[in-house]
Amino acid sequence: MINQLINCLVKLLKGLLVVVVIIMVFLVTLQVVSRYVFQNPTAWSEEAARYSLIYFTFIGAALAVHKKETLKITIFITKIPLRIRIFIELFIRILIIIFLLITLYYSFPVFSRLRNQLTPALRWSKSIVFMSVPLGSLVMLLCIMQESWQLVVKLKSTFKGGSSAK
Amino acid sequence: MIGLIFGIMLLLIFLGMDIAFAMGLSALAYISVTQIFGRPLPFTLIPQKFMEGVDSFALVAIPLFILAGGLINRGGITKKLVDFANSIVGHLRGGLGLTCIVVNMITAGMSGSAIADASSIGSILIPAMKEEKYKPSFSAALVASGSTIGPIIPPSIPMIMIGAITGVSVGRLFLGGAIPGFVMGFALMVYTYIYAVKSGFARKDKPNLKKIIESTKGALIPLGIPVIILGAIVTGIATPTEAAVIAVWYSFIVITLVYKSVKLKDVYQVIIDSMTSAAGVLFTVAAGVIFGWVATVEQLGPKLTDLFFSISSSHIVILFLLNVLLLLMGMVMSTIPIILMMTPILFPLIQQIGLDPVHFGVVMCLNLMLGLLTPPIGFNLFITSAIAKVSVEEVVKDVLPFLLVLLMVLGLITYIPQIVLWLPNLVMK
Repeated sequence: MINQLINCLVKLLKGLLVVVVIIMVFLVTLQVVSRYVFQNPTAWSEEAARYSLIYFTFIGAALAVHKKETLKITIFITKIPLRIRIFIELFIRILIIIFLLITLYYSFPVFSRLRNQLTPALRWSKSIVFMSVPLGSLVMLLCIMQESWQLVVKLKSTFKGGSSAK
Repeated sequence: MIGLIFGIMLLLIFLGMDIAFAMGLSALAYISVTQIFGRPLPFTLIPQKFMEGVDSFALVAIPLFILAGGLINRGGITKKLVDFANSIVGHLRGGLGLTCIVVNMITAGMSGSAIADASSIGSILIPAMKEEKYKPSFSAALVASGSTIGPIIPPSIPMIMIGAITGVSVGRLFLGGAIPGFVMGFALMVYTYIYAVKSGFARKDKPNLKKIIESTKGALIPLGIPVIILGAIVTGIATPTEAAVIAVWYSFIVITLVYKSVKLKDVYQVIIDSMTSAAGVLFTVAAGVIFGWVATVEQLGPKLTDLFFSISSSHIVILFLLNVLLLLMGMVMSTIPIILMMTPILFPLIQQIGLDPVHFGVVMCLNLMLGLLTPPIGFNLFITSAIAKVSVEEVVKDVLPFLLVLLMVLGLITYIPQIVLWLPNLVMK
């Protein structure tokens, strides 16, 4: 169930990421063109480019978490014996889950505070921009929960495998 | 208390937690502690700073430059650059080694990441050097060192980050890196040549004019990319972000319409592959801003200033200490987290003692590049040793002289700021 849901979400996010990248490229292009061809830089294109970067970051970060492509330093952890390593990895995932839950919980007050704030050039509600943060965090949460479950399964198998080997 | 928070973060990072989450969690720990002691800070800061952390037009340049790099790599442009460089310096003793440095200097003008350069150039030149009986560990060390020029010659992803965090002009930082980057390339070539003469590498046939013309023709289109990027920034036509979008269009048009080596469907895949990791980097930046904000609240910058002044008030000594500090950090950490952690702390110090932030930004960048060559965490060594199929330990032995050469360059640009500042001061008033 959760696996299918995540696969679906990942496909959706991949499509969205490409769309956001293309929008970002066009917005910055517009910025250059409006300045040099029309001698009149548009204020909204700069603003919209920044907001598309925010969406880009949180959509892409969710994908990066899913593909395990976030920045991390694993050289020390790989030297630790397997079973202890799984325990540590599980512990780390639990901490991340706590962090993401807190981020999500406190996103609500931020969202309602920003609802009436308008962006300077586009006159959009700032909460639209902010939505990217809880959305990305939610998908990350699902991915990390899936990973944790896989770790639990792996841990069980090392205990079984370990005892039968002895 | 801030020491404790710093400790938690480092522990989590070394346990293998994603750096972004480690920074976020230590900020969360800090905010939790303030609920009990001192003035409580709101938890809503975390989601809010997450958004504000990447709300920057300068940062838009990061995915764009990475995208341009991804397209270039996919289009097989590196091979053409290798042929070009080889036709010019290939006939000298150690010609292939010199070629490697020259190619690194050219790609440095297209991509802003040393790690990307090390893998794209290494995968072509390390096998080629093996054929010419270069010691594999030496070729791995050579490529690893050469690719550190990548983020010094503009464009540069670390410099975009430094600019976005501190508010220093990214354009000035880019220009500041240009001359030091060439000095690095020159110094590395001198050492490579000496090594080649010592090991008795044979000279090859004199350069053939026809070959030079042919390879130059082949490389003309890709050579346009660094020319456009540097040109646009030097003449002030475009900001770094705008130069990045021009690079994206240029490489897109070249690989789809001119070379026809890539189909539109492949472009989709390039976007997914390169942009996912780019977003991972930006996510780390967003989390780093939360952490940097804690450092600001705790007045870490001024505290550090006092500490440094209690040791000495001389610029020479302070710069020396800062370099040592960054080098040590570079040994155990990678570039981006150090930038995120240290810039909010170090730049107030730099400005207070009256050093130019552009100068220090470039010094810091070069310093952190040396961290890519030092064990235990030296990503360039990992990549090139894997390509050369030798152990990291062997490469470390051969990288030491290169490291010394680059340390000399670091000393040079640290104590002769004009090497960095001459170009930006000339171009941008």
